[in-house]
Amino acid sequence: MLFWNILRRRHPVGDEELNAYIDGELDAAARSRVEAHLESCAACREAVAELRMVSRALQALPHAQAPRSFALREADVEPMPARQAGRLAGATPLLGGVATVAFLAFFVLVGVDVADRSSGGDASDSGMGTSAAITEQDTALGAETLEGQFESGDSERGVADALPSSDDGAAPAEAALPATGDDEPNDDPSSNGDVFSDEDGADDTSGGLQVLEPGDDDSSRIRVAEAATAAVAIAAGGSLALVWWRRRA
Amino acid sequence: MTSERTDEQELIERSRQGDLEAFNVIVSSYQQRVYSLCLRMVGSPQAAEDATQEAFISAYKSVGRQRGGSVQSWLFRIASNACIDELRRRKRRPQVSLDVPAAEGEGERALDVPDPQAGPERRALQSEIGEALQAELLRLPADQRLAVTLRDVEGLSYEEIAVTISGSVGTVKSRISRGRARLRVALRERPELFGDLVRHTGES
Repeated sequence: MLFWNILRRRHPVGDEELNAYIDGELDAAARSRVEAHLESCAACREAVAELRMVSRALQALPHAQAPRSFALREADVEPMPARQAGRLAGATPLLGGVATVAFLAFFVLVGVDVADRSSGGDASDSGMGTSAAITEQDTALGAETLEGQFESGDSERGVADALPSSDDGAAPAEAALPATGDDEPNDDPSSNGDVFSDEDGADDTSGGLQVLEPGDDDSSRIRVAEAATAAVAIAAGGSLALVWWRRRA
Repeated sequence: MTSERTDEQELIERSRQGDLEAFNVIVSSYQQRVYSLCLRMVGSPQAAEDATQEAFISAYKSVGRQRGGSVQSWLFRIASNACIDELRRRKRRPQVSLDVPAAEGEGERALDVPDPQAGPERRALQSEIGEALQAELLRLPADQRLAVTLRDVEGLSYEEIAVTISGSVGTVKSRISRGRARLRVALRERPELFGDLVRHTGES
């Protein structure tokens, strides 16, 4: 048998062609080529005869009667009505698009953010620290507006970034940074003194606020946008996964 | 044929709007073929019944995505997925072993409902060969089994099978060829059946 198969593999007419021949799936040219070959090849004639037999035996299998009616009842389809399935399925391309755009935007923003701060390794660490500081401040300095808090929360970080390398491509307005009284909170190591330095940073930023506004505003917006795009990406990706899962189930 | 198509599309359209009655008209006209595909795919009447039921439920749920193509291919595609799920499910908690050839498993006897129109002698032969074939069919990899079943049991063309499995005609060719080659080898190994097969299908 094996020997036979090896032999067939070197044949001008392969098994696939013989089966297609049996099934009437060859065009006229291929059919006459196979027929010409069969004239001279006993092995292929035998193969055709036997494969045809297999095919006919399968065709002769009795068509089993369906044991019952498979008509659906309302209860069969209740958990996921057709209209809902249709709506979800219809929204799939949109969800996919939103998820993709949001993921891309997120990475672009992270890239911009990291480049913006040029603080090397622990970009995400200080990012976390800052958002933690913002929440702390939300509770501590209830009187401040949200934006003001972001600014003051970010002020020491902005300064910390600007100070070590004064030529990090900062905007002209930020060139004035070292000159403001903001050096002070920078004395604290920015990693663990966040909340406290922000507390006292709050009064002295009031003086430097106008100067700081452009640059800091940008980076805090980037931070907020990062979080927003991440949230959108997760939401869209999640519902996409849900649609897919439901469809499979 | 054309008007049949149009009727079907109208039924699909109504099903899409949640009309279960309309969908059940489709169910009743395809359940026989879907069930027989499932029976050949999963090998036991109980599993085939479950797979058929699942197939129609998921067809109804996804009817919104049925747009204009062949309803039959669409249903067969869903049914073959349901069969593969059903096989997987039963493999995980096997109450009925699917690997046991029909001749050995008592529960599998009902598989081959003899054709009532055939004479008694032919009927007996049919069911013997039928059981052997079904057992061999179940030993094929699922993709080959599906291609062979769609071709020889359901009588689809290669093109229609390609649409059903969302593949190419080349893939269909190779699966049918590999599947039949295995069946041929298996039948050759049972000369007593093979002889009968030669006598009963060879000359017709």
